[in-house]
Amino acid sequence: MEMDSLPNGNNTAGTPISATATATANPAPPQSSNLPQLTESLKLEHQFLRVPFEHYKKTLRANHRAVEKEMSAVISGVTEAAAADLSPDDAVNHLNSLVCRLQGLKRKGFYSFDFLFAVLSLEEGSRAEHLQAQKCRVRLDHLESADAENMSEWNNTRMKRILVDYMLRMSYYDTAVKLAKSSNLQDLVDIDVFQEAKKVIDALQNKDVAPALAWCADNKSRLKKSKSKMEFQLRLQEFIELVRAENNLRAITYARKYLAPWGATHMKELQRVIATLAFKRDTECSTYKVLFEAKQWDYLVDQFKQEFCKLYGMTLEPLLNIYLQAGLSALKTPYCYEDDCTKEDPLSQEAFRTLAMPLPYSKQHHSKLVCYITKELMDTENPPQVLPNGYVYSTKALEEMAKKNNGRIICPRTGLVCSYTELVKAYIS
Amino acid sequence: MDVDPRQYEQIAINENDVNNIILSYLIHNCYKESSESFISCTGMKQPADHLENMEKRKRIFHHALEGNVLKAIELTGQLAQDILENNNDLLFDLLSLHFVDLVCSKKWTEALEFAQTKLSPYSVKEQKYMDKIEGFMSLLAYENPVECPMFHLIGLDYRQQVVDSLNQTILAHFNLPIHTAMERLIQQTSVVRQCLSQEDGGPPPFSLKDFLKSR
Repeated sequence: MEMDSLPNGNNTAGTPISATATATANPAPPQSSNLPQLTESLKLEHQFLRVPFEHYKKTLRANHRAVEKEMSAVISGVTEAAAADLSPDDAVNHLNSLVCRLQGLKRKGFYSFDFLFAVLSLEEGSRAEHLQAQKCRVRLDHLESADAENMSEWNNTRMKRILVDYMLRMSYYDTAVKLAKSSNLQDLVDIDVFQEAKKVIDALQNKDVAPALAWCADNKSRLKKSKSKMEFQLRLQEFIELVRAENNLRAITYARKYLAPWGATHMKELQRVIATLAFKRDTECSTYKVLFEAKQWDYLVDQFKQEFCKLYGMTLEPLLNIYLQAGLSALKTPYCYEDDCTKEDPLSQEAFRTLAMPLPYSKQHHSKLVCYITKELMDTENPPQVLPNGYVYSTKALEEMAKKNNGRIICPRTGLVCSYTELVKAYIS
Repeated sequence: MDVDPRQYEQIAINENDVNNIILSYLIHNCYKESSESFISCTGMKQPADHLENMEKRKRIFHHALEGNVLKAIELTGQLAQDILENNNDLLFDLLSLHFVDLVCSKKWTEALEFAQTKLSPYSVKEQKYMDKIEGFMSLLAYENPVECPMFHLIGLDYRQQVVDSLNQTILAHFNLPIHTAMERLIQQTSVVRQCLSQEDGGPPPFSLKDFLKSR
């Protein structure tokens, strides 16, 4: 099994995730309907369903634009033929060429919007559309398949999904592909979507804004709706590169074409960048010097990742971070940072303590007491009882002891002997 | 002795006072020929140096307004070395007027070189110059500077404001009043009438526009 080969530290890292996932994924008692589980899962699996759906919608929009473009070309072609005084042979040739375009269109795939998940009706459906619709269906099926009987396997799959998500966001594409392939997760992870982002990120890291600008153009209406200024920032950086190269007249032309339209809403930023023309690339003035630093490209990469995740409905943080923080926060108590913290507690390890440092303590409505003898929780069904010497043990343990010793209790820590009737019940606040 | 306010309208104003007010206005605004005519007609006496300085101020004034700011700066320096040396704000504003002239003349390369050599050194002095430089440089980002949100920088009002400031600075340097007596009187009259109008039955506030219209 793939997971068994992971280093011990990573196995430990999985513990809080599994614990949290189990508790969260299995809130209803066994044997009950799947609906409560599915409802709970959906709260945490928003990204799981949203990303392939967004990807599918994007493909539909692109194909729709292609269809409209071809149709308008064909219609205008027919109009031309009607208006022109063509010979019968020329007319036949013209119409044949129009028919060929329509046949090409058919291969692109007409589709119906009546049912987004309906099987495509044409004999040659668009492969991309088909695959993406299928992926949406596979994920719905996967969520529905979660039940008490296979929860362990389901959680294991989820852990791998989370790891693949993390690898993709950290740009470890090859590793992510290998894990997904070896665990047969291809339809449950978003490798193809992140490959799209990879092209843009690689280009930005090579100081090339063209793929990013093309991506902005593809998603123009949605970026505008969310008031994104990604394109503006890309344009600013390209302007800076022209100033760096002392290509000042081209920089001015560029500013007039691509920066001026943003002046109405982002004048202060525009002014600051334009002013670099007066200060040049080797300026010591810190306000403008920073604009020429290489790390500006790193900011663009970060900005693009945020926009990309937002557009696809992904969480801005990796899923691994989110689950890990939720788990550590649930386990974190002041006791964890004391020297006698039990080794069974993940926060007894330095690495987890460090990770948990900025997180809030778990909210404990009531104190939790564990019996020294049985290690079981003491609660209203198993209340703590106090011996005359002040030591506290659970009712079950004491009853068991009394039964074995003719009603006498022997304190395991001090050796005190007393009668069961001398015990006093304690209450947990 | 105090005059009964009800008699104000009856008081005769000294002819010489009126002449002084008018001459002050003409001299302040460099109306040289008008000043000379006025003096000869009224028989007033004025020191010759007033007229001499006025001639120089007039040339500076006109060069600045006509878009020849560098010449204006040069002539100001000739008048007195330290007028602009001691006034960074004014010198920067004048230099920026020259930058604006270059931009409006579509001399981009010249404008850039000027900004790099003459304007940007000011940024090391104070933050406010940096903000101003950014405003002026943004004019370059628009094919037609009028479309720039900072278009007021190419307007006549802004230029007039800077040139007025230059004129006042030169006057101050020669210990001459930087505001005309006329301006002072109008300001004082407006304030007095404003106060009186708040009394019951007082006269209405003074409005120069209404006053001129009623003539």
